[in-house]
Amino acid sequence: MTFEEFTVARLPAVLRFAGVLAGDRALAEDVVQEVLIRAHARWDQIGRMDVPELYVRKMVVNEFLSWRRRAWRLVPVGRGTDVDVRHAPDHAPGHAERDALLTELGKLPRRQRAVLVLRYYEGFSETEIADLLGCAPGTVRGYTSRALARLRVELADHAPAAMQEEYR
Amino acid sequence: MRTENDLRAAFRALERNAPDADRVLSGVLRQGRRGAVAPRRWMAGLAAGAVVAAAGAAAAVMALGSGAVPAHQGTAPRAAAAGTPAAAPLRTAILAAFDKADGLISYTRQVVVVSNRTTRAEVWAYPAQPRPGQQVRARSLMSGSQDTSFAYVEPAASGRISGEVTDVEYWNRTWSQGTQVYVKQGSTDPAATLRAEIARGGYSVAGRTTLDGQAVIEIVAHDWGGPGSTSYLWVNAHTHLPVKSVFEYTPGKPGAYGTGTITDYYAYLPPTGANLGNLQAVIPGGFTRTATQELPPSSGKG
Repeated sequence: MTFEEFTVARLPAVLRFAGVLAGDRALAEDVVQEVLIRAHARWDQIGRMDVPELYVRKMVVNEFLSWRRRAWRLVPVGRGTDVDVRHAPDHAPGHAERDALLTELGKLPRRQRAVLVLRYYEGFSETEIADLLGCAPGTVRGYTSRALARLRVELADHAPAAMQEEYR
Repeated sequence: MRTENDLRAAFRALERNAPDADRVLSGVLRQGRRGAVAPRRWMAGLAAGAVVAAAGAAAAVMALGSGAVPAHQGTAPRAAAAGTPAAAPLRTAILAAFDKADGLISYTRQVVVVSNRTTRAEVWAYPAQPRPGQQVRARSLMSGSQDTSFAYVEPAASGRISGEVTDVEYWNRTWSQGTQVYVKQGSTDPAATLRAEIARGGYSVAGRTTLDGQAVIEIVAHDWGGPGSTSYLWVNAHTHLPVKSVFEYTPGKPGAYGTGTITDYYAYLPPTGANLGNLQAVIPGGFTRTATQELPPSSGKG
């Protein structure tokens, strides 16, 4: 698979994944852009893999996890001021709970958040996540349980079904 | 208690944060051109302006190219014609023009074509070559999508900068304004990229020609834009200021990123009241103010 073929066929899915993982479009854009620059430089090797997308997603996760370590990143720390609150969005009651959950997701440590995204959005197994993050499956379980507890999410009996299998 | 389904629904809602594919790919191409890192999109726009931010002493406004079609006729440099300046004196002259840049507004019209998609942008920066402690004003206008201006004090070195940002988003008809702090890296310095490329050499002088009525000198380089790229730069034959550049990325070459072209048209404007007015983002009537910048949703295109 050439780099161009990858961008045509698989980039949209990677972008969605990055958007969910980062929870912020600007950060997701920065992460994917950085990953594609580096992936492109090594595409001779990545393109020969069975599923290049998996490797690119791993790069996205690692880039997301290491993002704060980069001192030179352009991080807006200010907020707009003097905003006319009359234009603030009026959330419907049905969305309030989801917004609250999204807010709490945004407060999770990045590894916990990444584990949840990989498990419940991507449908990865604990073993696959452990392999991707370079840690033990037990560590993944620990991240998962702590994150779910913080979010007050009750597990169902069944294991999470894979949601996006087409690239696997 | 929440359920797994709630969690999955929340993640699906976050899909709206997927970046726009065109913007990401365009950014990748620009990064390759600069050989630097400056990811935030509007800041990247400023960095693109940085390429142009070297202006000369001449206060005259240079004519802009009227189209995106490169003036060159092929990828191979022409044989040096009679009267073609030698590379070393030309480099000295171009660098001298850069050094005289401080009093002007740099303006760039940029056309990026990648994977057969085109994005257009305009960038203003003043002063073109700021000194530490100087007030800097810059604006990036991405056609049909975003208009952002930024005012800050040029730092003595890379580091945090605080400035007033005005951002207008056309996709949802909103605008925001406020003080933001960014971390500025040295590689985004306006003069650094093009100056460094000129100073580094690695190019050949193809000859003299005309471009939109101007007498220009054509320069060809093969590594400025990263692997697999060919770069063309035309400088005014008299002022030695950049007029236009084209960075071509050809597929099939080792390390090359697909097919793409970045075309920049440069102009240098005197700081008249009207020209300084162009440094501020324009907030159209009827747009709604929001607390923070709202980036557009993904186009869904790959």
